[in-house]
Amino acid sequence: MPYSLLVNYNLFRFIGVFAFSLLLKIRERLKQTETEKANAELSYLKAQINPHFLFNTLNSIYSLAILKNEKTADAVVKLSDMMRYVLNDSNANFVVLEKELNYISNYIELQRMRLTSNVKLTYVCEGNVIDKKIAPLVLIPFIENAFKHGVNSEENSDIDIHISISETELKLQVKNNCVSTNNNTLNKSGLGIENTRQRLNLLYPQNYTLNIIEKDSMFTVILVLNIHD
Amino acid sequence: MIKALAIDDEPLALNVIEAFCTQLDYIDLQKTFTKPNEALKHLNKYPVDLLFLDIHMPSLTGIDFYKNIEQNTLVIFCTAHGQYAVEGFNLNALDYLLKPFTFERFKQATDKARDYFASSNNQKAQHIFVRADYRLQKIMLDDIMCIEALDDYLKIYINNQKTIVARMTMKAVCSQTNLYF
Repeated sequence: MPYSLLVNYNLFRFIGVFAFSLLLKIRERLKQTETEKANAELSYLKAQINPHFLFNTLNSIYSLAILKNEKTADAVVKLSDMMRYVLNDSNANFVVLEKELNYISNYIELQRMRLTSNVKLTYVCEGNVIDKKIAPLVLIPFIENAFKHGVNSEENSDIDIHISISETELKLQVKNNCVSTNNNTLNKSGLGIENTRQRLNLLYPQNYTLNIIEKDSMFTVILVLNIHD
Repeated sequence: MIKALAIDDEPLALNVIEAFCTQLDYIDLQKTFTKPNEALKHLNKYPVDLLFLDIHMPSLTGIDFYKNIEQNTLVIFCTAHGQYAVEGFNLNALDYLLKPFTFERFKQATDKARDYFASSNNQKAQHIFVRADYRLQKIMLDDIMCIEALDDYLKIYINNQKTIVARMTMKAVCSQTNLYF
């Protein structure tokens, strides 16, 4: 066999193997983004309605109704506002900020009525919301998380939720004591936050910062979103 | 009366059970707890017949709570979530209520408790003791043909024995035998 042909043959083989491995890598990468996207969508779907929250809230409202408590009607309106927002508005990529904040305040108020007196819950929202938009349901997973890990009827705890809005930025700060919980929800919620982070990557690429600090049994989440158009 | 406790980390959920129990004359809901560990301590001092127990509680699940008590207490699990039902029944729960539940459904569960105690008490009581003729006499329930009330006295007709007249009221006999008239 002539020498040049041999070189050509080897070259071909080399290029072939290289191209094939490149193809495999690309395919792998595609698959990975695909699953990441699917996970992000899944977390979004899950963020919409948490069945635990829904049924517990319905039971709380039922309890108010049985005792003929005057807060009953108000609680029904809050829950139906939440459901309407999730069913009608949250399918869009971006929604009016005011609606998202209403959803959050309804959620917090409905949670508040379920708590015992050993949880100190504060919620502050400040700044001008007019003419601003946000991706729906990106904040709620962090707030849900605080109730999941910051509430135990046998321990005193604080939950502080603070939202401040400037011209260009929305800052969410959630602080809570980590109380002991016997179930393994800790890992599950870690996953929830990871999925939300992926959703933020898709919706706010390079336009957000997320800091999660766990120190001295205090859990702090600071999320800053760039909401400038 | 069936002595009962209710344990749920949410006060509003306890309100429902309280409201329903006051409508039932055979349930004596003695106390309610939002702190399961406090309830455990109480239960060790003052045993009860029946527990209404939430499952999903952060400090101690209802399942673990029930595993931790040694006394023979009936349990009705109350939870907003169906996924624990199988484990609940594995623990021989009397019933499993999904929140929110109606009064009718609640009563269905407590009726089971009442029937359970009625039948187990009847099994225990097979005889009564009466004081007559200056001594305590044991009478098998199966041998009693008829009891006649005579003011403060009872005339007890017994199969193949002579009739006994005892200073005793009908009410006292009933409480000894757990019979209801």
